Amino acid sequence: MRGRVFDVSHGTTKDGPGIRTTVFLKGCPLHCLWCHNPESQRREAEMLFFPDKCTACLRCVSLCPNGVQTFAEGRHIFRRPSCSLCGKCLSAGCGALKIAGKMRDVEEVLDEVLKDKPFYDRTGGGMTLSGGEPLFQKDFCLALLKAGKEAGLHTAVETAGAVKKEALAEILPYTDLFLYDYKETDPERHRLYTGWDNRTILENLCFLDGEGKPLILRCPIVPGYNDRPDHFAGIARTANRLKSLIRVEIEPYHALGEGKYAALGRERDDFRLPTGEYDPARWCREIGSQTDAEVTLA
Amino acid sequence: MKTVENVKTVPAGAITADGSRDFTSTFARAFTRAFARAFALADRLKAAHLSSFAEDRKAHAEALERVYEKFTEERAEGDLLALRCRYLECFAEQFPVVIKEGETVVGTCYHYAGLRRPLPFPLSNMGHFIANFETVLREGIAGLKKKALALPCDGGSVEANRAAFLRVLNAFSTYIRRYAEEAGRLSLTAEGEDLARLRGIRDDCSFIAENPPQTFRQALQLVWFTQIFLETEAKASAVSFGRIDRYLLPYYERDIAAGRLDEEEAFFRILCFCIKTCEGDESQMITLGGQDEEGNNGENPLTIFFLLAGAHLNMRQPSFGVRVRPDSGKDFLDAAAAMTAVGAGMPAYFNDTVLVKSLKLCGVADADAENYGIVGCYEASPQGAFSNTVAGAFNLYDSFSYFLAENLDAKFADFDAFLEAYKRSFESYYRHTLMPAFSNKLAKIMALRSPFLGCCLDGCLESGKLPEQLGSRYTLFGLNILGIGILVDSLYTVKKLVFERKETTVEELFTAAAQNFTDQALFEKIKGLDGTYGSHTEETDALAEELSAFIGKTVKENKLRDGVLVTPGLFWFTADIHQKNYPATLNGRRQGELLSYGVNPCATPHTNTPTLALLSTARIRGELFPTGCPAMLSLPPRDLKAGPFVQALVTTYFDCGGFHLAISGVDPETLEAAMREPDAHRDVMVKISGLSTQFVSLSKAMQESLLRRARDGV
Repeated sequence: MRGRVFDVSHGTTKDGPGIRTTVFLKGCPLHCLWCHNPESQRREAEMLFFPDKCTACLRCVSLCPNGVQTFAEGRHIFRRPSCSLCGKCLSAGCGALKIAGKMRDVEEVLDEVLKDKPFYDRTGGGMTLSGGEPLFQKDFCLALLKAGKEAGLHTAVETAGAVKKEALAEILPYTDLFLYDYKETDPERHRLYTGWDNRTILENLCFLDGEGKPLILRCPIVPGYNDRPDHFAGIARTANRLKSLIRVEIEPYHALGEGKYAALGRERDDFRLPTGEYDPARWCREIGSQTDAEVTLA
Repeated sequence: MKTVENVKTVPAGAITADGSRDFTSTFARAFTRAFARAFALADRLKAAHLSSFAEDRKAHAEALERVYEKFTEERAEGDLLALRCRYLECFAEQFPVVIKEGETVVGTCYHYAGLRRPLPFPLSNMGHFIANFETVLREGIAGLKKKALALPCDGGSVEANRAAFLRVLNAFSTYIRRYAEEAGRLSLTAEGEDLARLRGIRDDCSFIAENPPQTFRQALQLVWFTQIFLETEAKASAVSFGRIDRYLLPYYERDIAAGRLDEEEAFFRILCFCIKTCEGDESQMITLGGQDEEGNNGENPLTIFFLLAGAHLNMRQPSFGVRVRPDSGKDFLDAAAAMTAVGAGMPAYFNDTVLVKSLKLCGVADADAENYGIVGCYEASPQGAFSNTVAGAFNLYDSFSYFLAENLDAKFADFDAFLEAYKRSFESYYRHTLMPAFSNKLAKIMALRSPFLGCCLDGCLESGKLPEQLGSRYTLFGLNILGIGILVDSLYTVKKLVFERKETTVEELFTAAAQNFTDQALFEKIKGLDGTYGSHTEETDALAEELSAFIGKTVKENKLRDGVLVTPGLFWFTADIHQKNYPATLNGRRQGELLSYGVNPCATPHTNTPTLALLSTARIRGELFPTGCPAMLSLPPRDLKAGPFVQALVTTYFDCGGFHLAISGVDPETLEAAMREPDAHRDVMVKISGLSTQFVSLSKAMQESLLRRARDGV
């Protein structure tokens, strides 16, 4: 069983308990305006090109069989449409060129994850599948979770919930913890910001809760978009209804992913960088005051 | 009165909750509140120290030069030993006595950096030892003199040594007495708290000028005076304090029980002591934690006081090392994490189990091994030993170059045969090239004379021999070995490209390296190799383990001379940076790039996963290298503040058998800013090798290497 993985990140501490390894699966049904991992959205592999890292060594020019990498007037020009993603240019080693989304075997990924086992054992950590939307590659996701459980790992899945209930039901027995995204309370705005209605998402959340699976609710807060009192109240209401909730985690917007849009050759005219008040501690307090659940900054 | 117990109860729950919470630290903050007055007073002393540092050091250098002049004018005659005694006498009689405003621990000794000319006679010793402070405190100057007096007057070297011991002890007493006199003089015009302070100094100094200290204050003061004299005699760095939380404990407990001292006063004096050490030389290592005499966990309130004092002050001295045991207490680990959170790379974490074993394997008696202290950066040593932990050094890759050059056209059936041949070549290189150099170095060390050090080590006053005459109970010869990471990766390159893929030959690789890898195609093949050391891949991990075992065994098989224990370590202080111009190496490292440091993997842009790097380095056979197997990590400041995360890294690494871990964490942006505008960033502290220091005072090459580590993690 093979799947498309765009990153394996060792030693993470934000994606569940203990020290973990997070496996990022490519492809996502949602297209959140503020997405900071745009390379996760499409199902297929993509080339990222970071012009500021180019050292003008010209190695990639000689390595590329398709003439995609060229230099004109001292500037590196990457002809994206002609790129076959063969990856030969990567051995230039400068870091300006990167491919997101290698096809990888379950066994290979698991071996990579298991390297850190002593850290999981000591800290109660394990493997987290993230994305993209990991369930967008449901079969691979399931196989990886099964293999992880067989190897004795604690498993967590970070999902936006915009998937079929059956898919969740299938991975349920092999998942110890869900990190469940809750992005927007108002259905219309949800559609506007992410491209999807939030009804399925909320139904799926209720389903998981009903199954008694431990949940962490993860709420990205983007000033100027969803930093509104009614959304904060909605987060608190939802938190109050959930029986298996561990805590609510607030994920304040950060601009670290902005450079990746250009690196992927994508325009973004539908998102303006937040200009509103940026006060994550206040957001936490405001949500926390309306619920008994623990509210923390991720 | 505040008790340590109620200070402890405040933060206990707050730090366990979750790994991602800012740590900086609830524990330390509670402490700060409880001891606010001590912190405020210490902050004032620290500010005064920093503002007058340059001036004081200059004045000190000038004063020291006057001592030299006086000494030279006398045209003192005699052998090196007599000269050394006379020099210490001149120092004790002539060197200015200064008691600064608000000081409670006194004694000024700036290190020698400001000197314009060298000492008028050969140096005494190379530093890098731990005095037996327990004995010094128990005996006092009178007790030490008594031991010297008991030595026989044999008309030979013992008699000469006896006279020398007495002379330097008398000089030491004179020096301390001058402080008593100065405090007395100042107290004539003082009033209020200042009067009490000066009278306290006067009484304490006049008492310990002869007698063994009776109180915590006196003991702490005598430790610092001893340090001044050791550094003055050594004119070298890394004169270390050993297990200060153990040997001061009886004094502390007695004073607390008698109501002579409260916790805040003790803590304040520890802060003062730490500020004082900033006048001394580099790498004055304090060892904290570890076992008590019965083998139980010996962590105590002083352990925590020292850690939190160091965390609060964040100054260039002293260095801190913590002995982590499987049963280390939560307070101890939390206080250590509070210091780590500061970001300057302190404390250095040591795996007690491995270090004790490493000394035992080298021939140190069980009780002494268990009571070890850290010298300088990472070097385990019995306390009160003539440790010489940086006596010899070599670059491992030299032996590999030598082997390659000799075997360019040799045919090897497979990689195992190649490796076996390298090992035989290394053994011969070690025996015939390195050993003579070490013997030579040992002879140089043994030609020096250190009578005052002799008074402070185990055995010299009993045997009547100086440290340099093997008078101490233990004489070590530390070996600093550079570049295990480079060697593993170079061998791995040969294994993969020559023997498995058969894409090149040893000769081609050798030639390519000699031409600094102008052969781009071959260079890319090397750089494209997966599974290099530090990626926690069985092939390279096993190779690292095998090589370290082999090197350890070779060192052990080659005895230097009877009575000298050779103690190897896999690091060479900052040589990774200073040998940047070392020719290109087979692992694709070009000339001008750093060599691998400690047991760290080579500097490559894609090793940014500290957990994997640690699991690789844990495979190195640390128990064969008591002089140290440092692994250095640089984490983002945010991770550093997550106490439980740091503790998990440390404890997991030690579960896996790691020797030493240093974790620092200044973010690369801060370092870049400091390189652009040094004046605005004088407060940025960083870790180089085993010591923390001011970033802006470092050379460009060092700054760049730290910036690289801050970016890449390892």
